Amino acid sequence: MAFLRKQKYVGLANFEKLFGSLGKRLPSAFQYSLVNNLKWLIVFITIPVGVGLALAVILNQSVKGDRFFKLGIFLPQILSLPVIALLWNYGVYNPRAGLINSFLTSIGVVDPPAWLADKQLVIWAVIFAAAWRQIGYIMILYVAGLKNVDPTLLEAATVDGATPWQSFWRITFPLLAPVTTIVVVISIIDSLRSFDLVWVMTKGGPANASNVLAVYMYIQAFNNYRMGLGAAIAVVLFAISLVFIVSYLIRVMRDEMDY
Amino acid sequence: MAANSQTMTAVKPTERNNRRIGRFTRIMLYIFLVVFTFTYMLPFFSAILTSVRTQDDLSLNGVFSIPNEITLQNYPQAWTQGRVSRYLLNSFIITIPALIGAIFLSSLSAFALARYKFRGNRFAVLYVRGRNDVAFPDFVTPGLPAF
Repeated sequence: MAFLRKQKYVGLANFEKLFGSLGKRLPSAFQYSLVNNLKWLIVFITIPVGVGLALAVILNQSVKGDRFFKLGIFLPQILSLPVIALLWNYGVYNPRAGLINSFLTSIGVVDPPAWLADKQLVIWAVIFAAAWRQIGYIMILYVAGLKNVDPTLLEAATVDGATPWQSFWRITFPLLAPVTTIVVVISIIDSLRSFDLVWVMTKGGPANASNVLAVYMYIQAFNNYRMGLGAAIAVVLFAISLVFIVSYLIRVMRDEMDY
Repeated sequence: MAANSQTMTAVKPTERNNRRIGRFTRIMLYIFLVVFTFTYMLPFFSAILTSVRTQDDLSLNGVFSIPNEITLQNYPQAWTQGRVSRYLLNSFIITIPALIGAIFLSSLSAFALARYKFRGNRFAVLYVRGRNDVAFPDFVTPGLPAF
């Protein structure tokens, strides 16, 4: 019951420690975590959104067997994140027996990279696994959005001689704007929430190279028992998330709760 | 007027869509979709394939290879030695009450929040909705004094 004893008040010392560690020649764990969250965010609002939209548009063209493709691409979404982490950790990224490296070895690459042990590669490898899961979700959101695009508009454009490319960028994409906003905000929030994949796959290692804020907080609080510092990281993460969550909720409130 | 009569004859939406892209593009699209989806699901397939292979075979040849022999031994082993039997039970012990409780409470409160206007109504909805978006460990820290 340590919290009942008289404690010394440290003011903003924990925050000073965090922000004072930024910009050093050797990046601190906090800096790694911030930068990695930022990398995660940038990848998440571009690649899964772009690929998801492209797949949704292709599968909307009344392709035969579109249900099979949708199901296959949505499948990762129903697995829990630790399962995905193990799947990629041992099945795909394992330096000797993994899917990628045993394929590379079989086509004659002598020294394939150790994906999760390389300080440069590790965060991208983790983000790739996360993006793999995210694509199906984004695709389903866009498929639902495309159902609401009035086909008569597209027909009218075709009659007027618009190419498929033009009618996509001039009609479909602008009409999907509300979906795109939701998708981008969801991607931002999900990238700031990232914890499970990093924790199971790398625990932030090697040497903090794949650390993200949530994992860094967990390590400081529950492995190092520095509760003050851990709580300070939690507050920083919460403050960053809040900006996006509030703007998202305001939008949801405007769209869905007009009563 | 030619274009006009053409649109008049279009009946089924599938036919309409088919006309918008050419046959060649359609075939290329199909090939792309099959290859993409297969590649996309490779980690799944490899997990299923790995589950019926022996450890020796795997460490010798890697995941991307044709199995030497197929064995179903891994499943009973996971069930007993891996204690999946117990863990599966634990999952159900958590999931079933959580599901029933969540559906019961949320349907009742959703009705109240949707039908009755009272102070803080909107805030309550947004709070519950927004809480889902906060990083999971942020919820763990309030429990800190327990240490």
